[in-house]
Amino acid sequence: MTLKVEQKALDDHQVRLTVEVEAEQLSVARRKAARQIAGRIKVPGFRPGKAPYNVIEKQVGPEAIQEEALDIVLDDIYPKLLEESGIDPWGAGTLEKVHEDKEPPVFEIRVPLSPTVELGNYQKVRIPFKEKPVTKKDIQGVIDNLREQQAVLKPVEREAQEGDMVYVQMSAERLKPDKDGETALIKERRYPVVVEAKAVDASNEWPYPGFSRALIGLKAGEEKQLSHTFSKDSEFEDLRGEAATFQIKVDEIKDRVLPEGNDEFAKSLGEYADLAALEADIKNSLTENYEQQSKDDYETSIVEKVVADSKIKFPPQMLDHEVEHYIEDLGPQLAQQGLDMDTYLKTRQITMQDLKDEVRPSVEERLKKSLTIMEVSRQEKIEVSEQAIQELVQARVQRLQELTSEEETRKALTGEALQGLVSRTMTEEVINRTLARLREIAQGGKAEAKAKDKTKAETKAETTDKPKAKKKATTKTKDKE
Amino acid sequence: MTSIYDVLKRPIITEKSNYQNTKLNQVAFEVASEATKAMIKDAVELMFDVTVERVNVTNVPAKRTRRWQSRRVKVRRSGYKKAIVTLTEGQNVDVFEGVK
Repeated sequence: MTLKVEQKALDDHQVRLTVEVEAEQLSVARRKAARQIAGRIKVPGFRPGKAPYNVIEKQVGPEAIQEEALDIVLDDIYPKLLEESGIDPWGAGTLEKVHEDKEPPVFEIRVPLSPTVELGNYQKVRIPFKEKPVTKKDIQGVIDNLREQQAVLKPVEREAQEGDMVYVQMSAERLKPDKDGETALIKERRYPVVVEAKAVDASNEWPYPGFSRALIGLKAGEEKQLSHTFSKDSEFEDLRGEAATFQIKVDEIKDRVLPEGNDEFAKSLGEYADLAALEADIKNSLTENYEQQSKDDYETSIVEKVVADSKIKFPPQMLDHEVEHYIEDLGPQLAQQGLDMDTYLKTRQITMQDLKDEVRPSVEERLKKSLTIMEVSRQEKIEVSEQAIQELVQARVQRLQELTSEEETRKALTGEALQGLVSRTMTEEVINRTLARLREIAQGGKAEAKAKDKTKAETKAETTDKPKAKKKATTKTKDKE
Repeated sequence: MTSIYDVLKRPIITEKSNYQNTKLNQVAFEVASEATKAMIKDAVELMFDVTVERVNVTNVPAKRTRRWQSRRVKVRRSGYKKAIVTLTEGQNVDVFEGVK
């Protein structure tokens, strides 16, 4: 059997194939289809599967047979078609049109192509590594925070000042009732308010920035009326754009006594000998944090640059598929917050379609990144030996054993789950190594010289880059499924 | 009684009749209970424009069956007269297409 195929590339990384099929093949398929249908439906007077063609045709109509027959023909010719036209499909093609009236019948099939990545000159990417040093101010900030947490409240009989904790009876009324006729914006209750210093950035202060400063100078028992119109971009969604009057009565004023930032304070926090030890510890953890952060930022910037330099093509179906996955992943996340998808959509007052449109750009970005990274790993011939994988998997299993009970561990390690773990580890490892490689390149092209050092860099990458790499790896494994 | 057009009631399309049709060149009909072989022959020849070689007739007995939902109630299905008409070699009646 020969096939007459015409190819036409479409704009969105798909190909339209026009195929001529011999009429005879179609009629054979139709007979076969009738057989299959006969097995499924009941025809009075016949045992299942025994009804002849014309009886079936009478029963289900010629269209149903036609449909089934097309499936059969397509199943038959599709693999040959792909082989002959030499295209690399990403997924199943869709039958667009059938010209049956033509002689011979003509099929039009649209096939999404598998993604192609044309890397730019990623070998030339050079980005200086910027480290974010830990400053004295950062450390001081942490200490101040700690001090605030340790603050002791002491009731005082005086006017409210900066830094005081003021307890107020407060209610707020809307100037205009809302659509339910409700006028109370904030129900009357006792609220604790910390009077912020002027210098503090108060954009997330409740109920509105600068509110607490209005309390300065009030004494316990005093009342005050305020009016305020909330801005459209207020931190608090339900207050946006409301105009309201506030009724405030000061109940109690407490002075917040912050402990001095000295050795004494350091000791009270636990195992620190003196303030210097505390500072050193804070510095350590901050340095670690910052290092991680700058490393992540650095990697992101490299990958972004490489992505920007490359020409990435993928069919729209692939993006849709990714979006579906993203939304699927969202489900468990919502479940943790005690929501399900429907309620989530309702609270945000959007439809599923809106949500999909909303996540599409970020998903596209992610898809591009993972495609690029995979391509780089291919170009750089980054491979992970089986042994290395085994070691990594073993390490993970060990960790799992420590964390969970024996039974759960066994459950997690049977059949498919184990397979998933192995393949996940593998992609993660490939990505890690690729990122490490990219980092080397971007830091000055010491590619050759560093080759010996590579193992070292890898081990480092493993320990430090886990969280980020993990995120990418999960998306990647899904692509493969 | 009735005219010759009332003799044939419906073609019988089953696996068995399908076999008879294709292999033995026969057609099965449900016919009026008072129809005779001669009447059936005339009716088939007139309506389908074929020559009939032979007509076999049998009375299909009534059967008792149970009602679909309440299985205890028994129902009697009436019997009918069946005619198996043999056509001359090379001729056929397209029972699926109806009367010409």
